[in-house]
Amino acid sequence: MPPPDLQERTVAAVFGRRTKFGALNLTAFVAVLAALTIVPVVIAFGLGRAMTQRAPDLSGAYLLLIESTPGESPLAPDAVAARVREYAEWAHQLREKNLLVSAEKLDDGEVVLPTGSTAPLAAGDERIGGFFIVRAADVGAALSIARESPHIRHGGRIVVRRIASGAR
Amino acid sequence: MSDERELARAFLAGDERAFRELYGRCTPALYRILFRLVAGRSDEAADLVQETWLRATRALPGFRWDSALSTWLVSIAINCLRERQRTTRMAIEPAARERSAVESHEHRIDLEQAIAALPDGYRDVFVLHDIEGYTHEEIAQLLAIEAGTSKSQLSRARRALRAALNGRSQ
Repeated sequence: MPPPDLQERTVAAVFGRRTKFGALNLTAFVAVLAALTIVPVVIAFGLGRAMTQRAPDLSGAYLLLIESTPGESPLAPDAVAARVREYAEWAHQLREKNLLVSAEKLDDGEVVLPTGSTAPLAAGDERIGGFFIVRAADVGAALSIARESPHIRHGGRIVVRRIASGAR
Repeated sequence: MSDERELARAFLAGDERAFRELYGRCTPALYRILFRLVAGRSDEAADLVQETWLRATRALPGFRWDSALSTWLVSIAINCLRERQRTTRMAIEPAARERSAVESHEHRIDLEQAIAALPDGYRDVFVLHDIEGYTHEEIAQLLAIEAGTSKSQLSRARRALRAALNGRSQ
């Protein structure tokens, strides 16, 4: 994965802007300031939640790993927005039926090798774009949930794995 | 995908968002290739990505679009890398690489380390062909070599990797 600051450095270089202190990038400055302010709040909030809330009971839950569609060209921004709305609607329906435990989209990442060094994600790793954790009576019910996903309609794959009971 | 031309045109008219879109589409793969070509030195790979974009944006008005933008960027990146290697290559570097390979034998060699220990020419062809899926003809264009040279270097690279990995298991 390219370093997170590389895009801004490159944009600045291409557009002939300086990013050093002499010509401070206002957007970046505001972002850093906001981050410095928000991070302690988020940490405190997270700690508070961890101390006062129990983690959800995942026994009998299933992990639905969303894999990207092989060979699909990158979508135009409008199409991405439409796709996100579709998935959000599906997640909303699952939540209404009290079937949804958690759902997250995965962003870029890196791989830690057995030597401890890191490497960019390989093509296979990049395929996993997100996950849903759902409650289902059995694997058949979990597979039915997966089949109704908009992801299947768009030609993607979903890996369904039962979360082992007693894992915690 | 065909709107890369549109994005390029918009960028040349000064549209920063268009550039960011092109950057977002092409950079992950470009960085991945460079990361492997420079044997996992992430800072160097990042510098080369930036240099590649700088040169590409200057040369973009003359780009004829007779290859994919991503392929063109890789060819520019390889030129940047070659120039850097010519001007900064230190005598110590090959020795260091060999030493690293020997040390790895003593501890552990994984495929990434074995690739990093390959001589530059072998590594370039191996990464572009076996990892990134370029054909020998494309590699010949990218590296300004004959397709036959690409094939023979790939075969030597695979032999060297096999030897390195066999060394681990013994």
